[in-house]
Amino acid sequence: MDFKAIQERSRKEYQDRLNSPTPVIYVGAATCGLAAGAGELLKMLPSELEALKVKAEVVPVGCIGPCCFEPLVDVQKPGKPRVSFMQVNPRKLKTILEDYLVKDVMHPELALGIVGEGQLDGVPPLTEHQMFKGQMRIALRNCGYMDPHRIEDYIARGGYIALEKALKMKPEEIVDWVKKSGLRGRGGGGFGTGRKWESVRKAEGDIRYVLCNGDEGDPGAFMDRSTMESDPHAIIEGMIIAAYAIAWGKSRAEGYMYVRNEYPLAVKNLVLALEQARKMGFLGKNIMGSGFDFEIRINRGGGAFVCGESSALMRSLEGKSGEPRQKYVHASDKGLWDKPTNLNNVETYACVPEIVNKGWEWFSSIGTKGSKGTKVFSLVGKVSHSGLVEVPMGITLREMVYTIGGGIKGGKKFKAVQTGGPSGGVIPESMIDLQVDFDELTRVGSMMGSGGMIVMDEGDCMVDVALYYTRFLEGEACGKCVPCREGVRRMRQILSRITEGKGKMEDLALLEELGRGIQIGSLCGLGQSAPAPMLSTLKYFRKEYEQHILEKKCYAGVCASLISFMIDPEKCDGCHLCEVYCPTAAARGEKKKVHKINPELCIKCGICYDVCTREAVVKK
Amino acid sequence: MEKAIKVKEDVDMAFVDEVIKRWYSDQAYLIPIMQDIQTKYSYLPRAALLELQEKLNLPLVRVSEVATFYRAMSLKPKGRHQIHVCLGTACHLKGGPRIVDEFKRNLGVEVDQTTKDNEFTLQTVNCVGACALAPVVIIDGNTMGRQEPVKVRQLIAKVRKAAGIEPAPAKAEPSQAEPAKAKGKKPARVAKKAAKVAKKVSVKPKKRKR
Repeated sequence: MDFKAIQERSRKEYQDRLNSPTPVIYVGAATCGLAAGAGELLKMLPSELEALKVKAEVVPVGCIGPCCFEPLVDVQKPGKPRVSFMQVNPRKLKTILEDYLVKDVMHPELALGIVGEGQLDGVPPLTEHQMFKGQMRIALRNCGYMDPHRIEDYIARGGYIALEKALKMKPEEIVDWVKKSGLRGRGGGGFGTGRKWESVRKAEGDIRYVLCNGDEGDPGAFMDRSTMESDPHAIIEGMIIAAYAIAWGKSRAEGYMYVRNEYPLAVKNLVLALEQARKMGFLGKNIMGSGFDFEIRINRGGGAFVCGESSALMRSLEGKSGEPRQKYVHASDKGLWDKPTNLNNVETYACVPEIVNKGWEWFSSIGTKGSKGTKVFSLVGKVSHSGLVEVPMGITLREMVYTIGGGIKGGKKFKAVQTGGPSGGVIPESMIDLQVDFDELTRVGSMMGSGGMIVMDEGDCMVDVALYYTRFLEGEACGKCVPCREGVRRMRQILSRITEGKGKMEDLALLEELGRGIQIGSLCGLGQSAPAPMLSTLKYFRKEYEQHILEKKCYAGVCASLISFMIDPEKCDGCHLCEVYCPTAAARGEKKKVHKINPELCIKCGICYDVCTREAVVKK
Repeated sequence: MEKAIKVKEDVDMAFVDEVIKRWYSDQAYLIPIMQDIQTKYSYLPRAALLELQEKLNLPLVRVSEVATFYRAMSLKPKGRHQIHVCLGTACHLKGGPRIVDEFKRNLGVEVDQTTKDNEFTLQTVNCVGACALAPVVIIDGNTMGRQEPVKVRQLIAKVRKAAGIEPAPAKAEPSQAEPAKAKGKKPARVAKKAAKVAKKVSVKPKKRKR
């Protein structure tokens, strides 16, 4: 079947669903939705609909981004726009079905907004929502709008047009377009994608490998997971275009996707998407009649953070343990199996079809001088609106935290933003007007990384944050080179000591020296950037370190050795809750009388603090 | 140190051979092969590793190097129910470590250990990418967001109930900080009272994150 016919059929199918004579219910069923309880809703929907005697189509879709409002259930009635309902639980679902679906009574307080076109009284469009207003979606263009299990949805929304166009262009021209667009690698390094493609194209070899890095190991980041789960075809299309641009006329090409083991749903959706693309003739032999052959395979990672590093990833694909290699051997010359290899991140590939479709001029008109286009961030931590957002490069941190993020949860005081995961650093409040792009973040001692943005408030201890990342890196170091293996361990030991109140002032100078040594001496990017979280917290929050050492106090109330729990006798009404939940019987008291915490028994688990309804338990 | 438990390995060699063949008997697919075996047995049995060495023509050191390098592979059998507590950054900030502690206390095991009745294995995971719903707990593949330390007991009880397991003694192991004399009558009393309170007043612990 030729592409035109496929397109027409897909568009018709998609339009038919939009104008369906029966209601359509979309359930956000990416991992975040499922974690919030979407699975239960999907299970109960058929029986609920049957009980109400309503015929409706249930479509599980990907993630549209506002994870804090999950689970999202969208209801589209004939002749009405698609209304998104937020934080739906079984009880709310019943209300929505009974009132809105059957009786047409709208509860605006349950609705988040209207997805797509159309108007409805009392419900604003989703694009007008504070969280969506400042966003611009390129990589996430389809996420949440389409069913990731149907290639037809992707084609109807403009998919694979770029591939058709690209296959008629000269490979050099595509490389040139990507170069001029200013697209930089979204995985963290920020290397020019076009330049990388060019050097792989120029390299000598009888086969070229095109790899996709879906080993999103950064804790606190989930852009790639969401894209792979919600719009797998965008990545596949980007990879095919890349393979054509790199290899056509030069050699054969083969593709691999390396996906984290912790993302089973992403693997499932990608496997299905690859199968569909093969069936449609977008993969395999003679793609779209162009004579170009390309095949993509999926490999699951083994759960090692270091495998996100390019040379370690290639070793892992070869069936070995993921140890990085010296950098003077370039992957573009000798990568996987010592053949020319191109490795890009999920998000980078997802941007490629749009560049081919709309031209490099369009893409390079977005963003800042050195960083073009948009970037997807996972905005999480202590903000009110946490989730996945895609914004133009150059947006200020203030806008991210206060406008899109909706400010700090619970009215607490903002303290810092952490970017770049274990390789990045923290940015203090004084720099909140910083423009977010590759170069600015590096300048202040952090990095873009893959796009995790973790917002911290006054209840977060910066020494603990440094210890967290250092401990993480200690566990994930592959053990090949000494500075990283031994240095990070020493760094963790010193930090642990400080959080236990056993630190000395000399430790701070030692930490700085150690950090510099690890930066200079380590073999791969993982080691070289390992001290960054510690060094940046030490730079911007030295006072907190000093408080831990000199005053033996953790004012944020995090470091267990430095805090104690007490009950405020004026607030306690003797409700007994703390005694009931206390795992060590430290909190005790008679009914209706003021309770007490026995410091000898207290293990500082903080459960009494959580359960007390009168805020009578205080941390000191 | 933990005593080496003699596990009777009941490995279906035909299955192992089939997996090897499925991956073209190629050394390059060592990791997917191991993953498939691990999926079936929840760990990598010694006999299977020896078979891999033989069939893939690899030195055993290469096989065990890969088997021990990756976090997803395990050389120890796991319990029937696997509990993973996410310790990604967002989960860390929102109390993930306290949830791990609470699981440890309630199950009487450390991380990466299995309870004596072979029901639960407690593990941590770096990040499952559901950060906006932190802290996250995954039990038998079901990801559950917005957890709290106080919900841990319920979570365990739920799994036990669904599987029809007799509830184990209230607390398998007293925490170290607890002096011996305190554990006498207290746990029973507390458990009783907890049930009573939970029944009577449906107390909703107030959300107050640290």
